Amino acid sequence: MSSMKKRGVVLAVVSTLAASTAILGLSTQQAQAAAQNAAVTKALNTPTTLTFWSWLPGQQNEVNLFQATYPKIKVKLVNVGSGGTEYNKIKAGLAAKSGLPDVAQVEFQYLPTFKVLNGLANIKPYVASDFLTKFPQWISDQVSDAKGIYAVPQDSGPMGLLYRSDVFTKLGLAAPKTWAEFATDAAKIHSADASQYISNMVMDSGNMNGLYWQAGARPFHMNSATSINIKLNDSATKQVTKFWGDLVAAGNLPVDPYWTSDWNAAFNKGKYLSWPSASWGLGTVTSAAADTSGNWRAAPLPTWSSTPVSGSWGGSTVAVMSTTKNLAAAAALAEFVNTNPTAAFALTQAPTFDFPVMKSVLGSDGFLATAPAFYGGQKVYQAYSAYNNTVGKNYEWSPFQDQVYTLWTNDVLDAILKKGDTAAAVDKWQADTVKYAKDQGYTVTTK
Amino acid sequence: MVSMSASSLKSTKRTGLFFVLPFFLIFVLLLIVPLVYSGFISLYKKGLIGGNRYVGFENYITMIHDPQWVSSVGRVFLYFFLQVPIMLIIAVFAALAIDSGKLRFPKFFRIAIFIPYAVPAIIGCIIWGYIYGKNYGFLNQLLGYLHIHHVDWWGNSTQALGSISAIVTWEFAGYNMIILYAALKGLSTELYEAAAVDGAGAIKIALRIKLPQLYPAIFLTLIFSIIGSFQLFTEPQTLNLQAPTVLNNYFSPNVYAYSVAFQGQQLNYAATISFSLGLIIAFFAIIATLVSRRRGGDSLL
Amino acid sequence: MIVLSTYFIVPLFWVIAASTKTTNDIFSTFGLWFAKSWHLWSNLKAVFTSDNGIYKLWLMNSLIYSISGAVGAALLCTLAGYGFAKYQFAGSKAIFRTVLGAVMIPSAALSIPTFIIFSKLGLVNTRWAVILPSLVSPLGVYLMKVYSDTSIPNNMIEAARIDGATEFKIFRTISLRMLMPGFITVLLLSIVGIWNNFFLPLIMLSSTNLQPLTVGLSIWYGRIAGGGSGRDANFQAVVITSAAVSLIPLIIAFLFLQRYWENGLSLGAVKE
Repeated sequence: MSSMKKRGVVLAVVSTLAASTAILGLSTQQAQAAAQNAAVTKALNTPTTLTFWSWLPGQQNEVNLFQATYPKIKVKLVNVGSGGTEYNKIKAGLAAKSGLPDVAQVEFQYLPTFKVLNGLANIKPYVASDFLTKFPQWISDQVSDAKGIYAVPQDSGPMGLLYRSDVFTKLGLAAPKTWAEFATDAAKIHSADASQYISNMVMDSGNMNGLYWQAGARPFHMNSATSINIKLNDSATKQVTKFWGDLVAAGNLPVDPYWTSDWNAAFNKGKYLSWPSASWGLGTVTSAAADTSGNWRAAPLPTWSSTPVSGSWGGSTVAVMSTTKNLAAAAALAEFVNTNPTAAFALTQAPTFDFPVMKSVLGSDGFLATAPAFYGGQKVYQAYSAYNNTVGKNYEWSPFQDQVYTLWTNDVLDAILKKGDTAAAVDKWQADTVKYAKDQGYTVTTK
Repeated sequence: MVSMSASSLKSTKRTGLFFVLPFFLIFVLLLIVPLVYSGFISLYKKGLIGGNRYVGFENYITMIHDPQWVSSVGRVFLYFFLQVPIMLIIAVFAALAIDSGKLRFPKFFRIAIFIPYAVPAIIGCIIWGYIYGKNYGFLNQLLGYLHIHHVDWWGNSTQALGSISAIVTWEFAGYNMIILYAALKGLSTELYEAAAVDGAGAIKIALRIKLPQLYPAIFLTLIFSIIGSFQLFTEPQTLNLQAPTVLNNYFSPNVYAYSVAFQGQQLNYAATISFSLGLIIAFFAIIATLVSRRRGGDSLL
Repeated sequence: MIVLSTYFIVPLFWVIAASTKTTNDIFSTFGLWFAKSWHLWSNLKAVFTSDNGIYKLWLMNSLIYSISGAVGAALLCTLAGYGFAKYQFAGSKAIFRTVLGAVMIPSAALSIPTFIIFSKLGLVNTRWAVILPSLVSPLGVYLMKVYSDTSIPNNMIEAARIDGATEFKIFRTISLRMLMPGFITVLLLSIVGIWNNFFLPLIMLSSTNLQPLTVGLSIWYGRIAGGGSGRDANFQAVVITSAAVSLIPLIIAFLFLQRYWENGLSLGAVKE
C-alpha cells in the first residue's frame, strides 16, 4: 500500500475510532443518566414510607405536594424539636444505629459535624446531573466535595437589619449605616424613652456568629481530615465583641434571653426597635409582634467600613441519613422539597419566609415582588437579595459547631453580661475550643 | 405438731430462692450491670478522631480539675442545703398541723399540698417558667400591681437556685408530708391524752411528744431527699433557655453529664461524671443512715 | 396553713385559667382570672389535632408504660418481698442488703450506661427500653418484705404445708390475698414514678410515636423556646393547655386512691 493510502486508512480508522468513542462516551453518560433515573423512578413507584424530621413551619405543604406527585410514597413529617434538640437526637441515633429518620433538616453549620460521624448519605447518584449548578457556588460548596453530594440546600440566612421605621422617624433617625451610628442611636433612643431600646443584646450564639462573619472572621479551616486550624480570637471577632460589650455596659441594651415568651412579647410591645437578623427573621417578627404590623422595614446591616458586606445566620439543608433503607426514595424527597419550583417558592412566603438558595427562584419575578403588609408593602426580598450578594465568602464550619456555640455562651456571653474584659473572654473561647478539639483527637493549628 | 424432715425443710427454704429470682435477675441486669459498665467505660476514652483506648483514672483526674464539674457539684451541695431543710420543715409543719385535729377541713389541706406530686416535673417547669417570666410573668405581674420593681428570677446562679428550689419544694413537699403524716397516724394516742389531761396545748403536744417520735420518718425523708436533690436535672435542663448563661450546661452534674454525652460526644467522660455522682450520693446516704440509726434507735434501712 | 396552701394551689389555678386564653392574652391579662374572650375549646382542639394528633399517642404511651411497668414491677416486688420474708435460704440476708443498698443508686447514673448497653443490643428506641428499667424497684421489694412479715401469719403457712400444699400453691391461694393492699401500694407508687419519668425516655426514645407525655411536652415547649426559623409564637397557648390537660389523669387517680397511699407509706415509716 502506498504511504498516502496507508495514512488515509490510518486516518479513517482513527476517526472512526474517535467517532465511536464519542458516541460510546455519550451513550455511557446517557446510560448513566438513564440508570440514575431508573433507580429513582423505580423507588418512587414502590410503596414506601419515609420519615422526615423537620421543624420548618409550612414544610407540610411541600410534603403534601410530593405525596400528590408520587402517591406510592407516604411521608411521615415529624417535628422533634428545632436545632440542637433535633441534633442531639440524631447523634444519639447514630450512636445507637437506630431511631433515625430517612431524611432530616440540618443547618449548614452542622453538616461537617454529621459528616465526621458518617451520618450523611451520598446522594450524588440519585439527583439530577446538573444539581450543583442550581445553587450559587458558596452554597453548593457547603453540601458537596469531590466525592459526592451530602445534602440539598433549602434556605440561607443573609443578614440585614429589621427596624421600626415609625419610631425611628419620630426620633428623627434614619436606619444606621455604620455600627458607630448604631451606637449613638442606641444612646439617643434609650434616653428619649427608658422603656425602649435600639435592640436587645445579641444573646444567641448563631446571631453573633453572623456578625463576626460580617466583620471578616474566618475561624475554622480543615487542614486535613484530622487537622484543623482554629482562630476564634482574631481582631475582627474581638472588635465586634467589644462593641456589644460596651453597649451593654453603658445600659443601652437589655439582656433578655432569646426565644422566650418574654422576648416575643417584647417585640410586640415595642421594647426592641430593631434586630440585626437573618432573612427568616421576617417570619419571626411577623408572628411575634402582630400589634406592630406595618411599622417594620428592612435595611442593610450597619457596617464597619464603607464597603457593604453582610454575614449569614443559619440556613438549612435537607440531608439523607446514612442509615436509611430507602436511599433512592429519600434522595428524591430531599431533592423535591427544595428544588421543585412550586415547593421552593412556597417556602419563601408566609409563614416560613425562607430565603431561597436556588438561582431560579432568586431571580424569579414572583419572588422579588413579595411585599408583605406587615412590612408596609416594602419589597423585602429585593432588599435581602441585595444583602445576599454581599455575604462574605469562604466561610468554613467546624465539625463540632454546637460545642463551639456552647463555649461561646459560657465564655464570651457570660463575660459581656458580667461587664467583664471581652478580649480576655474571646481568648478563653479560643483556648477552650482548642482544648476540646485536641481532646477529640484533632491536631490543631492556630494561624 | 408434726415437724418437717430436714431435707424437706431445706427444699422449702430453697423455694424462697425461686420467689426472689425473677426480681433479682432483672435487678442484676438492669442495675448492677449498667453500674459496673459505667465504671468500666469511665476508664476508657474515644474521640471523634482515633479509636477507643484504655486510660485508667485519667478521666477522673480531668474531672477533678474541671472547673465546670467543680462548679456543678458545689451548686448541688448549696442547693441541697437550701432546698431540703425548707421543704422538710414545711412537710413536718403541715403533717403536724393536719394531725393536730385543730385544723378545719384537714382533708382539703392534705390534698392541696399533695397534689403537685401528681404533676410531672416537666409540666411543673412549663407552668413555673411562665410564672417566673422576667417581664410578663405572673409573679412580676403581681409585683407590678404593688408598684414593686420587677425581679429577674434567674438573675444569678444563687437566685436561680432559689427559684428552682421553690419549684421542687412545690413538687415534693406533699410527698414527704404524707410519709410523715402516716407515721404520725401510727403513733399511739395514749400519750397525747395523758398530756392533754395535764393541760398541754396542741402545739406543745406536737413539739414535745409527736416530733421526737417522728425522727425515724424524718430521716427517711432526708435520705430520699439526698438521693433526689443531688440528681437535679429536669428543672434546669427544661428552663435553660430562660437564662442560658445562668441555667447553663454545667448547672448540675446531671445536666453536665447529659451535655458532655450528647452534645460534646464524650460518652466516656459522661460516664465518669455519672459514676462519681453515684458514689457521692451513696456516700452521703450511707452517712445519713448511720446517723439515723444512732439517733432514732430504730432504723428502716 | 392557708398561706401555705395558696403556694401549692395557685400555680395549678394559673394553668387552668391560662388554658382558656390566647397567647397574647396570657401576657396581657391578670394571671389568675380569665380574659374577655374564652378560647378553651379552640385551645383544646389545637392540643388534640396538632402534629397529626400526636398528643393522643403520647397520652397512650404514658398509660402503656405506666401500667405495664407498674404491674410488672409490683409482681416482681411482691414475689421477691414474700421470698425474703418467709424463707431463709442461703445468702438471703446478703442479697436483701444489696437490694436495699441499691435504693441509694441514683437512676440518672444508670441511664447513660444503660443507653449504651441497650444500643448495642438494638433495644434503643423500642418500648422495652423504657419498660425494662421500670421493672426494678428496690424500694418496692423492701415495702413488700415488711408487709409480708407483718400481715401473713406463719402458722397459716405451716398448716397449709402440713396439708401437703406446694409453696407456690400456698402463695397463690393464701398469701396473695393478704398481700393485696401492699401490692396495690407498690403498684401506685410505680405508676406515678413511671408516668413522671423524664430522663430515661428522653435519651432512649427518638421516635415521637413511642414517647410518653413528659418527653412530648418538652418537645412542644422547646418549639416555642427554640431558636432559628420555624418557631411559632402562637403555639404557646397550645403548650399551656396541653400541660393543663396532662394533669387530669393523675390527679383523678390520686383523689380516688388516697387511702391506699397512706396505708402504703405508713409501712415504710413505722417499724413493728
